[in-house]
Amino acid sequence: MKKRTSLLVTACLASMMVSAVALAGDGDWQSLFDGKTLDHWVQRNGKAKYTVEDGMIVGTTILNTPNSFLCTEKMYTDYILELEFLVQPGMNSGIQIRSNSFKHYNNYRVHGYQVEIDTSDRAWSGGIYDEGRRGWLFPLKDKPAAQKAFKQNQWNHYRIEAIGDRIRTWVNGVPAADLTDEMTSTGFIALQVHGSKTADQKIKWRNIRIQDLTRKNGPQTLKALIVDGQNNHDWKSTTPVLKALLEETGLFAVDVATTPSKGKPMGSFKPKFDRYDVIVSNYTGDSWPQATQDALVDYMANGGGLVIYHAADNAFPKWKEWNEMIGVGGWGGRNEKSGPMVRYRDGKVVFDNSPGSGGSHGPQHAFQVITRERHHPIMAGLPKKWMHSKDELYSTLRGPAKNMTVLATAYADPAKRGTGEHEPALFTIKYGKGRVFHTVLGHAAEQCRCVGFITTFVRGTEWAATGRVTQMDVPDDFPTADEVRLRATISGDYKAIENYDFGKSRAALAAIEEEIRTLPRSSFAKVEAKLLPALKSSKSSFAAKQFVCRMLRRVGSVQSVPALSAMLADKKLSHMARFALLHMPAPEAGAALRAALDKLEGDLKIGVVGSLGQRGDRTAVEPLAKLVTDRNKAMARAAIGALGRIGGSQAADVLSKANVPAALQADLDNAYLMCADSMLEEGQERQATAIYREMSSADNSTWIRVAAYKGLIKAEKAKSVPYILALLKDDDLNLQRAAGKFIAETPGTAVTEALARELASLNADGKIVLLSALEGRGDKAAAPYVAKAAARGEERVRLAAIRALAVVGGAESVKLLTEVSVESPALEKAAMNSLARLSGPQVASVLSTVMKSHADPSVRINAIETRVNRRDKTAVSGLLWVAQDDDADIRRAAYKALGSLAGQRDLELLVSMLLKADSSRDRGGIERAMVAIVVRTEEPKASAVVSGLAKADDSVKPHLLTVLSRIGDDEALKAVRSQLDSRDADIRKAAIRALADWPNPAPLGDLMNVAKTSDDATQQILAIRGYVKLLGTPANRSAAETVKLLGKAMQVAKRTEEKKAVLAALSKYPCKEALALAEKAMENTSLRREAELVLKRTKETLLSSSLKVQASRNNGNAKNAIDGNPATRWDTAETMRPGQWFVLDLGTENVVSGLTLDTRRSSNDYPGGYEVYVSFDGGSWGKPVATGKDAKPLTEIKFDKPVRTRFVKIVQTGTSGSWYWSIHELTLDLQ
Amino acid sequence: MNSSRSITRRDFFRRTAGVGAAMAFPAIVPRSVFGANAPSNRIVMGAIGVGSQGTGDMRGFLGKSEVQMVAVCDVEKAHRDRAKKLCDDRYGNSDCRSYLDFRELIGRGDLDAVMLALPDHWHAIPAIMALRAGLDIHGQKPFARSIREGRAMCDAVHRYGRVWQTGSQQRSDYKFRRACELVRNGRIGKILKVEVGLPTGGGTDVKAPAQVPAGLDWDFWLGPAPYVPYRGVVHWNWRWIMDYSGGQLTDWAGHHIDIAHWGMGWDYTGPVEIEGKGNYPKDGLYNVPTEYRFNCTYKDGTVMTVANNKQIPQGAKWYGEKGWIHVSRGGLSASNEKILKEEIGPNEIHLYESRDHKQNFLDCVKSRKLTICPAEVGLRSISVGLLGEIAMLTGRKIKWNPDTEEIIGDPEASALLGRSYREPWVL
Repeated sequence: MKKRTSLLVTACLASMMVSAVALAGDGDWQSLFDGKTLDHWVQRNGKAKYTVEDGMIVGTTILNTPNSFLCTEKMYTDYILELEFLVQPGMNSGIQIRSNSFKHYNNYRVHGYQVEIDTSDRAWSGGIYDEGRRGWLFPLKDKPAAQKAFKQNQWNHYRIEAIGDRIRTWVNGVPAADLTDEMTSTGFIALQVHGSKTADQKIKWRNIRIQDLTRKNGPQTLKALIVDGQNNHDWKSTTPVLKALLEETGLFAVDVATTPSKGKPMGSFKPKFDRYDVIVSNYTGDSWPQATQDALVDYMANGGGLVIYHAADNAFPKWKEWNEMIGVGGWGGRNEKSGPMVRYRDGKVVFDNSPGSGGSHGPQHAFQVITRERHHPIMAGLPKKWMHSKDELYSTLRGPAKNMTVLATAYADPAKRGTGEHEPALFTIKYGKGRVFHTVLGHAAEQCRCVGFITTFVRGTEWAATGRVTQMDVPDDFPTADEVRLRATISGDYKAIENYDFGKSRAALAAIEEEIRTLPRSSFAKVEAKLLPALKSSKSSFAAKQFVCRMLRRVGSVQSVPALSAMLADKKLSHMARFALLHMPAPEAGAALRAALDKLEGDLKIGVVGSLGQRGDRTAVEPLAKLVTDRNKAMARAAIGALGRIGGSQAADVLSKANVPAALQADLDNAYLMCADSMLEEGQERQATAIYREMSSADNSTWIRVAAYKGLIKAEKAKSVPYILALLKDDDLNLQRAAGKFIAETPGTAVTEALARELASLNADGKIVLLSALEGRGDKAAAPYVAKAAARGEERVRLAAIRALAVVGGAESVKLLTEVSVESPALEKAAMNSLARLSGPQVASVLSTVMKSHADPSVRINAIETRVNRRDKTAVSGLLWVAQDDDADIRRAAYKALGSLAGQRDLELLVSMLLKADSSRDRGGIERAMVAIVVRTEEPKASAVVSGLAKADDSVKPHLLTVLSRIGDDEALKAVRSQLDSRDADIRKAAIRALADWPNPAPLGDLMNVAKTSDDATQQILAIRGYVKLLGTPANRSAAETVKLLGKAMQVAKRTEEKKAVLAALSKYPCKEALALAEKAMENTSLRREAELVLKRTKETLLSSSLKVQASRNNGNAKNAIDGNPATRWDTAETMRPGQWFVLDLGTENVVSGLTLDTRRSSNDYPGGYEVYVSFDGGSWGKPVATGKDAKPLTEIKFDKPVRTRFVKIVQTGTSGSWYWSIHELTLDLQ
Repeated sequence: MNSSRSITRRDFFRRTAGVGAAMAFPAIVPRSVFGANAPSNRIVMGAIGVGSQGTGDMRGFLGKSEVQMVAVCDVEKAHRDRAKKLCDDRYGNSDCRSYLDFRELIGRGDLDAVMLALPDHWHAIPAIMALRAGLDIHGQKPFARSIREGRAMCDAVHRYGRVWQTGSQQRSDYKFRRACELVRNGRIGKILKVEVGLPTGGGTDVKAPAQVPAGLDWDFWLGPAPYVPYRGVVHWNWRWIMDYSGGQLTDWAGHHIDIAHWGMGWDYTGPVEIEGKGNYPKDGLYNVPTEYRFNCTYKDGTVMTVANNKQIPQGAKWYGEKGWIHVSRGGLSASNEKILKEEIGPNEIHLYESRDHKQNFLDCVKSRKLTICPAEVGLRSISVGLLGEIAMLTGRKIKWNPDTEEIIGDPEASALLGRSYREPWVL
């Protein structure tokens, strides 16, 4: 059976060869299927199975899956396709031709012409169906001969010719379909397996071959002519862009015909239109000679192509044929007589004949272009909506609009002064036999960067030229519905590079750098080509060539290698050539560096050696090997280093055999180990281990041994513990310490335990290293061993163990650590720190036990402190219990801890504790705890304290009053107030003190009352001082009102000291009233000095509040310089340049004697130099009153003599490349 | 490895081992002061690069009782003379030696550690050389000028078991650790996005080639960087030229990106996508971006935006489902004051605590623990800045594999991960 099959295949192959020979005269057949693989085919849409069996492609249906297509990767336009197929009856299939799959067409749905394979009784095999698009185009119902041509259960043969707009099919040699259709001319070929309700149905194809006629039938290159010369738009910059866009497609050769300029005789303008496949008009201006007009009309009527680009539709308003060609146009007096406006309303094109002038547009803006003819070849596969770059949206264009197809519209938004209509943006016109593509987009070169413009322009031009579009690919960077996509253009002045040198303007170079930053990688080859001339030019300076090399580092490719390798021998430029070559991916770059080794000497060669090392170029091992023993030590060292960096066994081999002077031994050893590292990484474990083992021997230097051990630990993970232990037990401390680092890098609990178990066997240094490393690992498995080390032994070891316990320990470490904490100050510090950090679920409860019941009170106290250090709120109940301990020190520690940890709800217990306390130390301790609690509490409640006050005896009351003052609410105030007339003088005083400490001004009245009425001098003093203090607490009160209250206090105060205290407060409330009060106080000689000071300060403050400021730069922040806050600043927001200024307006005239600039918070930003001017009107400045150069972060400027002025101006006169000028605070010296 | 070959090599090694070893560079075994012959607390240090930052760092170390600063190095004579005087004044002797060439300083053989404060383009070579000589290093941020240099430095740190601390001292500042702990412990909920604000660049300057000042070794200062004539840019202003630095971006990436990473637990990883734009000076000598903004997307989809402080307030800011936290040198703030008062419980995440950056380095030199800012973390922090630089320079979205440290599918961008060294320097 097998044998027969193969015979059959051979026979088939033979027959194919025969027919290939027979048809050789017709053209070159190419096989689309290699008989073995599905290379160059790609499956789309459904999930049917495609396999290769015995030189056939077999398609198998899968139950309930959509249509599947096995598509050629390549696109074809004109061709003859032949194939054979064997289809299982009941199945449906077909051959797709000129088919496509686009993201924006039903999510990649394969669509296009399908030559039907129909096993049903209908028997339309060979008919043409438009898959995924229009349905049947050529059914076979009128072709009985063709219907009979298909044979069930046999191999059938199809011949399909798709040439131009005609598609014909033959079934087993019988003509079937003959279709003329111009919708799609390019696409892939695909083998369909129809979606099926039956699984495992099979169709087989073989002998699939094609004659690609595209190049023969289509024009080799389309000839295009751009017409320009006059335009109200910048035609000089857009024509080159249009030309480049067309030429970049590879389809067009473009000429340009430029008319005489405006007003000049036009007679000479006679382009030979008929020599071109398409005319692109970028022209609007003077009329052409009649002969030229006639030539264009003839050309078009006979099947020419015309593209109207943007303002070209402004041209020739009176030329009837022109207006028929362009469909609609604008301006130039066009109006309702020119024809209708064409709009898109309710899903269809309508003509609007309402009167009005033709042509308008609002301000430029980005707008959406909406596809209206998605099957038109110009629009095929483009998204329904895409955002066009900021452009003029042409509206109200008018014209005959005959034979016009609107491909796309744009909505002219009234918000952008638009018409509120969907205006045609892209359209085609049939004129005679000719085709016109009209795009209103592309105002200037910038708009021509829009990928949407580019795609439709090049497709539209091809369509105008040929009536078809072969550019079916939708670019990846095509705009989306809401995002504009612009394509980069290369516009830098690359010729300027040659003229650059150090110290000259870098502007042109910076522009090139910026261009390279914005260009896509696909443009790099072009940039590279533009950079290279400067590299080769003899005119270019070193700096210019250096610049090119820097840029080639970013864009360079094999194209630059010859020029760069030529530079390698240049003493000045060699490094820069390597700058570009070093990481260039092209293998040629490496080859150039290797080749240079033979030609170079000395440092230049060393540089190349280094680069080869950095490239990791293994093919360089052999040439580098020769240099390892170079007489030049620097050369040898570089070669050794490079071999290490390159790594691998070949380099290791070279290094192992090398004999080098002692001075290079460490380099050699290091490189040898680096090779081992790379070998290990690449899976050569055994060989790498051998190198590590060799290098770890004791006759090597310490650091090489360290590195070798590191390698061994990495390579032999199973033996890592013995290796580390060997290091830890070595006499060389350096090895011990390296072990510490390696432990940190070797994971695993088993490793932790294995190492920790050996702790006791190490010397002190080894122990410390291991303990630190165990701490770093944080693995709890080490805890028991670490605990032993913490308990006893040499103190430095114990300290390390205690530190480690913080991380590796847990509840079981609590007792040990608390006990250790009382042994010595050093141990205490470490132990308390570790106790605070200890984590684990039972830590708190063990601490509680120790705190309550340990035999040693010192241990208990440290346990209490630890609760605080741990911010452990669960400790409170235990602490309340401990707070009643017999030991006074423990009680006090507990009070303190409660102050930190307890809350509002614990106050009641503390009050009762306070009531019972019989020593003043206990009472003080409890009071401080309560104060700490209420201060921490957001809204403390007084009730517990107030009810305590009722029960308290006289010795306790003052403590409760203090607590109440910190609570400071109404209930507390009432309670304190009630004690003001206590029988006991001390309690009265305590009550006044409590009011004086109130957090708000509520007790002001009470205090004034006491001050007025009390006959006790001390109480009166306390009340006055408290009153003044409370005035300072936040209140919704104006300065004037406060001053009024201070005035009252002044009246009531009996002693000078209190009056002075009132005055001292006064300067904080600057206002007219304060001045009056201070002036009145001047009358009192004993207060004169203080009053004078208040007057001066108040005046100054009043003045600064009316200050206005202005600055030449960053004016918005100017006020920061006078806001009294040295943390905020004004700055120039640019580096210092002469002429930057800062002006103060004092509001009224004052006498100024100088000023101070404080820039200490930005210590480099003091002025490089300054001039100070004054003026009465802010405009006439005269000569500077002070100038200076050597400013400092704090610059004090004194005027020669005080000046009367309203405006003061500071002008900065220095220059700095990096610093701003700033002023954090500006103060004026006033007289 | 074929054993007969290694024997050849070993034989030779035995013959030459010890011969002139004391003269050799850098094969010398440093005489550790922790050995039997030296006080166990003494750390003998050298300072390479003693300009303004280096002198500041050196003063910090001079203030530590356990440090003995015995050597200083700078390519500018005035710098090294001043530094030597500072050391001699501190110890009341004239023992400090000054060097022009860092190779001689490293080759002394009696140092335990060095501090490096050099321009970014000079970070890798001395560091790797010092690591190979067994020295621990306090190195200034940013960790490296390129990611490939940084990787080579990290590898050397690991290979030789050295202690490294990057000078990102914000990690030793309470408010930064506090901010990160609040974020790490979910006080603002799941993190939605991160913003990092860094200083804005200062524009450009125009300078003509000029005479190299006496006392400055210009060629040595340039070192591995491309040759350019001296144009008055040496100390400080080198930051604005891409041959030496990435400007404010890379200067500060080692601070605020570092903190943002710490708060996210991204210390040992990096973004997977980076995309952004920079404004580059249109003319003049300086060429780093003045304004810049780029987005970094991490594996879990979280986006961190890095921009200059005119676009994003300076510092690190985390936005979570329940609010935000912002930290900068100016202070710590949050969407709600209450967040800042939250206590971190004993069983929650507590970050590495260091209260004194330089002390942390010295402690780790003794304990061999990882420092608060180890090499790998320093590299990951600056990598974000360097990748941002590449994304802005190429104008493209960069796809990054943080595990293999490779740019995916963009060889031109990959070329910017490393840079060629000017001869005779090699990496």
